[in-house]
Amino acid sequence: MAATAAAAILSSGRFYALIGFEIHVKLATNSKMFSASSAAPAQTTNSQVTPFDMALPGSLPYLNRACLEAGVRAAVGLNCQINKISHFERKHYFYPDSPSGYQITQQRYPFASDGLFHYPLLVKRDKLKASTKHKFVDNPNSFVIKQCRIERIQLEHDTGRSIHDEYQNRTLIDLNRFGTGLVEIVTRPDIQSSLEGESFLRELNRLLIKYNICEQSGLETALRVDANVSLHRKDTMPDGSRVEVKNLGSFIDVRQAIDFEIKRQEQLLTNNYPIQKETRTYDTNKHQTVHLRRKEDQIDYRFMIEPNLPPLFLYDDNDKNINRKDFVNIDHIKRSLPMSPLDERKQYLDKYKDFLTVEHLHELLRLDMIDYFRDVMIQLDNNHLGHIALEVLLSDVKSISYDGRKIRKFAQAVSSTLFADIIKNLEKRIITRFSLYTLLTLCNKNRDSTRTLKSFLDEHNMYAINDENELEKLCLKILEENPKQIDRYKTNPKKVLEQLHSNICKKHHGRIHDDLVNDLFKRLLDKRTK
Amino acid sequence: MLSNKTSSAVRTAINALQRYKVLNTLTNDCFDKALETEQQLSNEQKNNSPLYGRPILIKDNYCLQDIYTTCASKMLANFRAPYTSTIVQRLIDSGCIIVGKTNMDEFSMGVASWGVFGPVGNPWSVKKATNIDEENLKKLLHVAGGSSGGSAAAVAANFVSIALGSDTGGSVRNPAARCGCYGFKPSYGLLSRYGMIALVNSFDSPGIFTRNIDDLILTINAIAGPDGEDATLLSKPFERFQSSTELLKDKKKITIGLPDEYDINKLSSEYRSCLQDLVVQLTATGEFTFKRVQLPYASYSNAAYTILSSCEIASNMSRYDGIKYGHHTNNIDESKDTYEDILRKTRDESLSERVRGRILAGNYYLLEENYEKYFVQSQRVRRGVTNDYTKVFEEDKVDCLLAPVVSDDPITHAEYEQSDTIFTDDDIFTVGANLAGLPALSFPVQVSSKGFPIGLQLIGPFLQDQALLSIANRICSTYKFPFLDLTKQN
Repeated sequence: MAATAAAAILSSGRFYALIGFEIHVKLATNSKMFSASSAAPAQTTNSQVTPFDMALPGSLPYLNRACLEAGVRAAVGLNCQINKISHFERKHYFYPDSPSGYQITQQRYPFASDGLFHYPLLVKRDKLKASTKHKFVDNPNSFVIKQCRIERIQLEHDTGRSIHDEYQNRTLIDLNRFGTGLVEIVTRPDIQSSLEGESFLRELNRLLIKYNICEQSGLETALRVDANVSLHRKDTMPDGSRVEVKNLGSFIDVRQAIDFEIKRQEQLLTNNYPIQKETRTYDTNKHQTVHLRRKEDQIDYRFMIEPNLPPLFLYDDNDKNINRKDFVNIDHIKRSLPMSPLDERKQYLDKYKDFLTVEHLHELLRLDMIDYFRDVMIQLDNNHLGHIALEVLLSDVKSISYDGRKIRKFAQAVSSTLFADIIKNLEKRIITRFSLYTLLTLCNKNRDSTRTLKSFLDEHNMYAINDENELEKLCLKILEENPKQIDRYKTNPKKVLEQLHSNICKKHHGRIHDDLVNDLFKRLLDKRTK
Repeated sequence: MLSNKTSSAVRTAINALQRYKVLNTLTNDCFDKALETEQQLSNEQKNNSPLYGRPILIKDNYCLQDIYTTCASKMLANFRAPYTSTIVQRLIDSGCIIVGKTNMDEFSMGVASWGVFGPVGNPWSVKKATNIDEENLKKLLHVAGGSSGGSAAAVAANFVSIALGSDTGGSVRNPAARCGCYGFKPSYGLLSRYGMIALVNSFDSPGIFTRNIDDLILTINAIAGPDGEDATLLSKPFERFQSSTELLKDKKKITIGLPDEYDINKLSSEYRSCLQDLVVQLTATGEFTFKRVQLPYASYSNAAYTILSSCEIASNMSRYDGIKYGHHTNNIDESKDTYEDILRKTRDESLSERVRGRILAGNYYLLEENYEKYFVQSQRVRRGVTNDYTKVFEEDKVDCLLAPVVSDDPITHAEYEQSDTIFTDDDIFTVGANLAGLPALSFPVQVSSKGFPIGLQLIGPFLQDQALLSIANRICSTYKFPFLDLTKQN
């Protein structure tokens, strides 16, 4: 397993890794970056194409303000220095999905640079000890905040889509995606392991969604990531050489690619081979990186200032005429931004300090349940209920959602309102704690989001038996069916109570309150054995 | 204005264009549609504007919806734009009638208007000629200037009274001077380039050919101003220019600069005398003074222009791959041709040697290792050129500059074919105004001894277009140039 090997390599103390990312973020704007056509995804092929999008002669680019503002929000969220003057450039290369023969980007003069991003390291509690041992986590406090410097952020647009038709030996081009807005975020190589890398990307994703920069995507993320990985012997300085890995479409891909690279480069170093500067691509099936091209074969993109777009000016409160409508005011955007996810979580710790610990929060984060937790808490107005809800989330829901991997689906099927209802009913003892797993599983499978809790409980008869008389009747029945237990009670009362308890619970599927039934059996058996 | 009984202006234009087909001023015509439109407009009678019902021509680098726009290149020979350029649409909205698309140098590169459809003939070549036969044509016809030669020739010969061209390094002023009409390049940022097929985005400006300054002002007023498509335009709304009669009321004394650097050796004595005589003539009126000025960076302007234009051309031409539109090679070997092979064949087949040469040069200058040395350095020189002009206008207190446009009479088509040059020394007269984005107007002064028009140009401060036209108006009122009118020949 590459992951274990990589971990061992890094913890051996003989090597260190430098990892940096180039991240392309799809902007959630209505129209494209330089043309007025819609940026909506998944539309009829080539139906969202203006003259500019197909590079018709005579067409011209015109910057979309919404894209610029989204970019500024990203720069603010990443604590970047915002360059009040920046320039667009053309990056030239021939490829069918690039109709003009160049991409408009910001190579030499990006609009933001020199930022810093803090992110929590996400590690499973049960793996925490191991991570500490391997020095992935600096200290046993499970909520570690790491940081990564941001080198630059630039505005650019996406290319079209190529579909390779093997049967008819041709390539089909869909230009709907051409020209949609992107920001490219380039980090410094501050990431030191695949764990850090994944943690960083997840927190970045949260920030970008919260600040309405990109959409929450059906796939894991609206980010496309290229990773630069280099392994070095301890006590040697990095020589600038690194391996670029492309085609990383999910957080898992990133983690596995980094681990594979660390393992591969360690082999080379140990055997005294040089590490070739190259570009590799990630094979999602084999979980390996594969050589694509050498750095020496790198394309000269012939960057040239884009003559059809004047220099990009950004303003702040200190500038004159700041109320001009066509000026974008950085300070105004800063003021209108919500709290960062990091600050928001600090707020939760304070607000729910009666029952929410740092470990809990960290686990919620790891399971991607923070938003769900927030939505549920809004509906429960006291700490006792909150505590119960938290406990259920971190046990039953964690399990049903496959350790958080299917939490999005769960949140859709089981609305926060429904969940809150369940918790309230649990507190009132209308349902038992043991029925929850079954109940939540049923709700999760359900497609009709308007179904009430009552309808579930009615259909599957999941109400707890609170009536003492009725419960007594059921207990007596159990005793009747298990006469041997009555005898055994004299010698091993504890065991008998356990077995009877297990018996009645099995028979009545989660409708039995623990405390009630134990007391009842004890009382009945005591009476019998007198 | 057209009524049912009066003769059709469009019909007159069509007849003249067809009679003088030998001048090859058009690449494609819209004769039928033009006649239809004329009829429609005369029925509707929407307004009394002098532009209403006026037949005009537009250079074949302006997109006009559903009509061929070829740039005189094989690459776009079958290209029909699905949209219309902003300024063309504004002219249509004013009631102008587009009669056809005019001939030009391929993709606006050159000074002879000789593209895939053959060269444009200078109308003065046929003025005297009675016998025009096919064999003698190349020896008989002279170069009309370029790259907007078709538009210039048509206006000079009075086939139409207004035509559009484009000026990147002199492509409106040069043919205007050669053919004998007004050729105006406004300040960069005044006229939208949306729909005008780009050559060098930083220098391109739409330009206008007319036979008098009134029509120039009318046209500009109809088309100038922001359009929400071209981001390099001035954003403030356009203030219409006053009419030429209004402008004539301004009697203030004008100081005109004569740059030393434009007095080059190649300038023929006849052309030099023309300029000097005009200076004497205007000084005598008492309204004008002249002074010598210096533009030290002028001698570097050709080099800077060459480098910067090649870079942008190489970039702008990258889109011509035949996949979305335009020429696509038929010579495909399905068994082995890659995307790159097909791309190369497509472009080799349809772009002329001159175009390919510029692309090659541009790609060289844009290499990472060369960018600073060539492109960036040329931009510095460009700023030097611009500063030269600014200094002359602001410190030397000069209202505008007077300069030649070309050095000597045009050569014949046959002579042109023999010659090898891509750039001429004459470029020094015109590229400065493009590098600095200044307004410049070419105006005809007199006829040379060999019977060709000699034109000169005025170059004004940035955004002082109205003032420049005012000065030109006053200058041209002091004499009468014998404009050609081939529609009146027998």
